[in-house]
Amino acid sequence: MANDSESRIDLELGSWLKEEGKSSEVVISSRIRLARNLSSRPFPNRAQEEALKDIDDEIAEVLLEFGRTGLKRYNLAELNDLEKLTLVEKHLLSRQQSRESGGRSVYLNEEQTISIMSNEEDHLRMQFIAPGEELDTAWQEASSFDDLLDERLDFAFDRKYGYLTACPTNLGTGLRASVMLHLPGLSLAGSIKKLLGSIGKFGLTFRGLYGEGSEAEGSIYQLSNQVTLGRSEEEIIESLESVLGQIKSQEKKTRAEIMAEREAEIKDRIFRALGVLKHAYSLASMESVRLISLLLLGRCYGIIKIEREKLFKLLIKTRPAHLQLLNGGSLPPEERDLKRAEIFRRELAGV
Amino acid sequence: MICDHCGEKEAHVHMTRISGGEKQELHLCQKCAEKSDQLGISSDVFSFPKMLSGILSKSQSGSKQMAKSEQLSCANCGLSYQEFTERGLFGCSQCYDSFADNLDYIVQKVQGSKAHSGKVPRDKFPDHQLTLKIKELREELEQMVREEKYERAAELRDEIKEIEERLADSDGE
Repeated sequence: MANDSESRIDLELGSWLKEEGKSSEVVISSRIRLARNLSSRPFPNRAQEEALKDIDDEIAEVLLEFGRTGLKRYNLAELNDLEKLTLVEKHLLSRQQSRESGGRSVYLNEEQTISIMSNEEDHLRMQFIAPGEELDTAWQEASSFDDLLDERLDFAFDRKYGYLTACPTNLGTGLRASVMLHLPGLSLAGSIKKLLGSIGKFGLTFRGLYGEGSEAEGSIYQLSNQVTLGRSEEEIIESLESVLGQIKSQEKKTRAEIMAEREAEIKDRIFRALGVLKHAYSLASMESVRLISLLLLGRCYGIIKIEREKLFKLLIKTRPAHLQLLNGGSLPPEERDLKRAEIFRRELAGV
Repeated sequence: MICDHCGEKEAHVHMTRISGGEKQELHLCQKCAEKSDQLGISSDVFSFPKMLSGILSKSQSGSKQMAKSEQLSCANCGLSYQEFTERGLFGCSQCYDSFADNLDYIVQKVQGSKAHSGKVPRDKFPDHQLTLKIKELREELEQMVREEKYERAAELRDEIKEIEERLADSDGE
């Protein structure tokens, strides 16, 4: 089908953001990333343009052959900056890769639950994403896909060090297991810093997904393993899950506590958030993330009636690149804020 | 407070990163903060190469081997050891052989471990799955003996023996 340039990127939400999964009031999604390299090729950081193209094509040939996964190739040289940034906002492309062009591709399936980057820091960065708390499922899927590729591609592997990667921080399993978390309770109770301090001891990383400060905007965080070597994939996932279990129960407990102790204040915050989103004439990007987060919390408390999917749709579709792509071209930040406010006013009119 | 990155403007963004029990602070001006990765508490100052250089410079003092290694480069891709420590990235899979002398030290520092114990490509090491299976069965066997469930233990012993024979056969081929 001939698509015009505006519709090359699917602006719909991936099924992993749309659907509710296990514990999805706290765990938004689960993600498994595997890093793999071809044994006889230079790593992307040391490959010349021609070599990059060859590697990209070799990978394309194998990936596109697996018809059942329905992967579609997007050559980064053929996407414009807005399209690439839109994929970053959809969490399907790394920021690093969005700055690149020739000899690199990203492969997506229709549900947007698989994202495979070629010639990122490693030849292959494969991501498998599931809604809610589903690290095991995502790992099973990733591993069997990896097995399929293994039959066709000669992966760089060493008996002692495992899968060889460009950076020693990914060595061994090449596995980065992560969960996206919504922790408004712990944020409102001021407990995030304490949590941050204790997580490092478990070989895990915890960081905010939006914003630049140490207190993440919208209380959306990512928890992932730091160590990739010396433990099996299952062990890495298990230890992540056990810390996750703690965070989850703390978050749930805290949500109940703050509502019991600070009911008027918490309700006021949530309804003010709704008021601003429904009526603001101009909305900054991070401000809207912060406010949507409160609506999500309000929804979990049952005091705001709105579908979860709608909130995530608003969250993603009002990110800067999405807004501009929907608008059909680049917009200065002030105009984006007007556009963003307009979308919220329209979409939340009935709430 | 002045920005840690450009050293010129007033720092407005303050970040704290706690990793492995160590706390690091970073103070940036608005502009440098925006330039650093938007996705949270990462920035150049905490980038892996910088930290790796830190690890290596600590180890280098007084080490003859490290001094020697500075002259090394990878025969396959030409990356020098010096470049590796500056960028924190290997140039090809052969680099792991070329810089083998220093690797255990680096890997131990970065990963807290020296050897892989996870998945193995099936076609390259067909025996690996069986070896893992034996390990698993042995653990169960010990458990059963401890619990004095000797009937199950005997079954497990036979199963282990059978797999070991299969492994021995495939070695002979």
